[in-house]
Amino acid sequence: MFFLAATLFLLPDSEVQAAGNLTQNSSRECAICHFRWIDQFVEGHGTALADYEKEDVAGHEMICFSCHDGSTDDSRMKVWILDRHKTDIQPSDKVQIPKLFPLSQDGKVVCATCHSAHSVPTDTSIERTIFLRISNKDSIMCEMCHPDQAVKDHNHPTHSGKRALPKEIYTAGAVPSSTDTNFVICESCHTAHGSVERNLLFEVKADSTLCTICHPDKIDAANAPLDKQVNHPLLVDFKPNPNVGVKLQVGTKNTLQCLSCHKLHQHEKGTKSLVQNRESLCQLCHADKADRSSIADWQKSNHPLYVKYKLNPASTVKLDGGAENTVYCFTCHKVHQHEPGTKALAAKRDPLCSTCHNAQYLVDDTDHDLSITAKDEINAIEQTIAQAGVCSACHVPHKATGPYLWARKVKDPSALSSPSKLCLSCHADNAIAAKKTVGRFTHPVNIPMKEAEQLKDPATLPLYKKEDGSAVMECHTCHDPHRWDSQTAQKGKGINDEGTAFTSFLRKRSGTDRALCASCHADQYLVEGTDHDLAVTAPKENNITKQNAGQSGVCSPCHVPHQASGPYLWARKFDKKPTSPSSLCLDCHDKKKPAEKKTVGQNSHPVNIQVENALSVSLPLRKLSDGTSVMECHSCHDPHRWNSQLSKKGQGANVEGDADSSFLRSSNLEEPSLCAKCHLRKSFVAGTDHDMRVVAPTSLNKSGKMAKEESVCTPCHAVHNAPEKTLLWNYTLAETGQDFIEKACNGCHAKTGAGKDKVIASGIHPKQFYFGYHKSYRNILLSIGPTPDPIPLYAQDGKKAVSGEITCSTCHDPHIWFATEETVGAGKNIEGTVVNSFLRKGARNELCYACHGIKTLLLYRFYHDANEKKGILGISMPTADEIEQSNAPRQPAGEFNENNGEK
Amino acid sequence: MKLPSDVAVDQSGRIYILDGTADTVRVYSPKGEPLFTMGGPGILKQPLGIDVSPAGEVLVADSGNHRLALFPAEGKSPHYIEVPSPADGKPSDPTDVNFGPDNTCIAVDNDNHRVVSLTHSGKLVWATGTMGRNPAEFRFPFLMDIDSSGRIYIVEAINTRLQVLEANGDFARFIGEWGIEPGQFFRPKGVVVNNNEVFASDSYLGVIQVFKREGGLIGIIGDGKGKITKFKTPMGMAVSGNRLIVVEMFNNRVLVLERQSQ
Repeated sequence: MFFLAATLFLLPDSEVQAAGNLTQNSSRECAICHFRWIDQFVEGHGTALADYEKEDVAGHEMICFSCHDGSTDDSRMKVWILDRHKTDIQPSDKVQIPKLFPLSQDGKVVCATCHSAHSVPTDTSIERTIFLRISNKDSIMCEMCHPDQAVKDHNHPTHSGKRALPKEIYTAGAVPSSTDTNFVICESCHTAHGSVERNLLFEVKADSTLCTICHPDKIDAANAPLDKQVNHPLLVDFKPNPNVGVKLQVGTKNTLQCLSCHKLHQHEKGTKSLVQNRESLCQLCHADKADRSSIADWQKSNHPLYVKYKLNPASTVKLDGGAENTVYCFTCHKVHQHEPGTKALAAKRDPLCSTCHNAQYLVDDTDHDLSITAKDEINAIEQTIAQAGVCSACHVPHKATGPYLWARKVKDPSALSSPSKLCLSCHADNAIAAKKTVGRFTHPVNIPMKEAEQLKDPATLPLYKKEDGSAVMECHTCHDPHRWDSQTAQKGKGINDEGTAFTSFLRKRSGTDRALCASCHADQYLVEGTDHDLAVTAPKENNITKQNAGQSGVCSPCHVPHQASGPYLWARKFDKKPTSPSSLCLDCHDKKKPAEKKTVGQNSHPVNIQVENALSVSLPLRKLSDGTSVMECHSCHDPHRWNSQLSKKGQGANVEGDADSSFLRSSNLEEPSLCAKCHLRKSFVAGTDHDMRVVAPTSLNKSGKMAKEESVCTPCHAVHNAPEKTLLWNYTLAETGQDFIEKACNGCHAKTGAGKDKVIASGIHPKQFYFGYHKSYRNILLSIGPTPDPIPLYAQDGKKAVSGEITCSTCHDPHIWFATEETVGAGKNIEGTVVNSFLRKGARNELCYACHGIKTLLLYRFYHDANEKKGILGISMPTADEIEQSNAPRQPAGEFNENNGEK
Repeated sequence: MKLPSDVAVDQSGRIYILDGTADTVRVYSPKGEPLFTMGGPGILKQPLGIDVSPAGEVLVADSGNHRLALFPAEGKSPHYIEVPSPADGKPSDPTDVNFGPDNTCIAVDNDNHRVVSLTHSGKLVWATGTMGRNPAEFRFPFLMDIDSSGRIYIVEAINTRLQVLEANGDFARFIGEWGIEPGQFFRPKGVVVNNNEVFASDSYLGVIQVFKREGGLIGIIGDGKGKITKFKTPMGMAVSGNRLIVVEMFNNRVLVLERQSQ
């Protein structure tokens, strides 16, 4: 309300007497609307009350309003209060206004653009209806200016229709088609004046009612129970995302309307009048239901979109996937007339999901059907199996908690960093599958696979491709969690079934069927029929699952995939805790154990010892945490392959092994290939005079094995069950000798030994040399400094010792015939000289010379010739025979030194 | 308010504005403070004219409902008085009404181009007018007022004049005529009589002219500086003391003008 000051603008006392307009005056009647035609304006001037009017404003808004304000007709509500066709605006490029419809002088739309009082020659009086310029039959006048709004396939159909239009729209003001009252025309929905919404729509109650009174099947009754609802909710709170690039309409109080999704005019052809293409429409609001990140589909938290699918041929459900059978929202969902009581699904859940995932439905009634094994379990969105179906326990199509559309509650999503962790989230202590855990010792997962070499059948045993491109095996490599029995395409029995090696969701059978394990471990199956096939050697032996080899297959006596007792998936019960891989071997190869006839004995090649130059050793070693490598039984033995030279199984009988077989990783018979991998220098003994196969082929070692039938090492050494711990010596020791080495050498170089042609007649070096004072050999060696080759000293027990004494092996390397040429021998018995004869480099020139000085040359030459040495030293050295005959205790070295010729 | 049409003032100076598109009477204090409303959807339907009795009763010409609504002073529930349609005529279209003598209501029937006198019980006392240009004929009579002697002043929108009737409905005189000169009308809409002054608004020309009861033009509302005041669609008016209250329909407002001494 406004308060103004006012005065009367007084005119000279007027005697204007009203004429009362008693006569009809055509010019006046016209000027009622044609204000411009009033005489004063025609004369070119205005008056005190009216400025000069230059334009014919007959059809302008204010002229029209001057009558339609209630004084002749009350159009306030219909035209001015409610929405109306715009006037006083320049037509946009979107409309095409024919010349038939005049604009104002400045090119604007005015009332007279559409209306003219003269269009219908009925009555000249103003009290009659003011008609349109032309007949708007079938809304043709609307289409003349708005042709784009009526183009077929891009707009709501018009001039067609088979159903009678509901009377409600006529009550609201709709105009029926003149051609056919069933036809939809512009004025079925729109009115130029008196609309209640934008776009000049009729008032029919509120919001989307105008749509739904013609399309009642597209909206559910307001009180419809959930299980009867078949349409997308309408009139619900709706907050369009302003960042989606498409402005979505909202209704009263920000509610969802038909026009939020539909665009009735100028939509894309074939889109069912949608505001955006069908493939992405839903995501305008339900962006959280689509994962458009670049991560792999299986990792997404929503069902993947835009991937091609293969229909189950037997399915009765018709999916909407376009010509390319590509998944998008409408493939599974229907906005209208969807399956009642579902999340707008196109069909009931089970036939719908199985249309694509038919194979996975074999999970029904198996142990992975939680209605069988954990029926009260609820998933991450609080659904029970009874509510949401068999898949729902593990998978949800949207808002998954982890990869594979994971449906389980997950406290820490990072705990699902690999596929197997999904499995282990249930198969864990205190989880729903606590009775079926894999145990501490279980088949490893997330381990790289050299796919081509190790996995022969990747199609049936899927690996998990990591981001770095590597392929690793996971639980699902061996297990298909949806199929209980790989051999039968059938669902489960409906009971909590105890699995076997043939079932248990395995992709292939295992146990007595090698199909599964051999997919990766085919080489290990060479164990079949060998002494390590317990069906051959210990058929009654049970593993920790109380199964024997005949029941559970060739692997089972030693290995089980889960709940193993120790490393290497060990399947046997340990009497004592294993400390190394060799413990597993020794667990059987022990007294009162299945391999008690094949124990290694007290004196056996050591295991769990560090291997020097490990990188150059082509045998499997065990790496310790400190970076060192140690050898174990499996360094020399491949427990699954009887003969390294033969790629075939065993004979099916308990066979006595030799240096070619015995599960050795390399043959050691003809050539010491295996031993040479660590003891290369010692392998040069082959073909020398210390190769008994050359010089004494019929000699027998202490185990009674003949030299010519064994390896070059065997006459002297036994890897297992050696008579002597030192050097694993396996030949008769001599009674005489100052230390173990001398006894070993003398044992052979004796009249009855294999080296009887080279009996050591003399040459026992004195111990602890004195030059008036005590000085050890160690110090002598230190004073010499580095020598071309080590000059070893030995302790009494035959072991090398830096503070040891000079003995045979100090000067002789029994494995190297010619020290300057490290190679195998000629394969024949050769008479030696002072430059070969297994003599070490440097012994003479360095060690001997340190004490014997100039006499060294002769002493060295005639070291084992007592007579010659006598002449050199002036003393008589006892011969071997003399020593043997005397059978007396040896002189202490010191005593011998006192009589040394050096004095 | 949206497109208000008429206004009335009671003895205490309270201003009753007819906000017809909201089917509501909005009552303001003399200072323009909102006090209360009357009517509402379902009670009124696009009414156009209003009058207030000295006793505070409010009489509304309820055009859309073809009747009059008589509200007791400050009352919420009105008494309805049906406005009869003439034989072979259109449904009655009461666009304005005034309290008449002897507990009658004098109402304009716009679509039937006549004026009727009704008792509060709805009994037709008299009716006068048909469509035409002659005395006692009307073309779209719209708003009206009654002077202290009972004469009835009726605005004819298309005949562009005021037609004055005697209290019994007989023709008395015309005031004003077609034209755009002072003393003439192009779209006369509202009228209010104050003592010897007859104020008449012209919605298209946007002026308010003042006539003598006998018809002579006294002057035109101006700003005191010799300039005629231009209103935007002035419609119904009321006088309260030295104030003239004018409805500007298209501007959705009411102006209160205070008379300044010459």
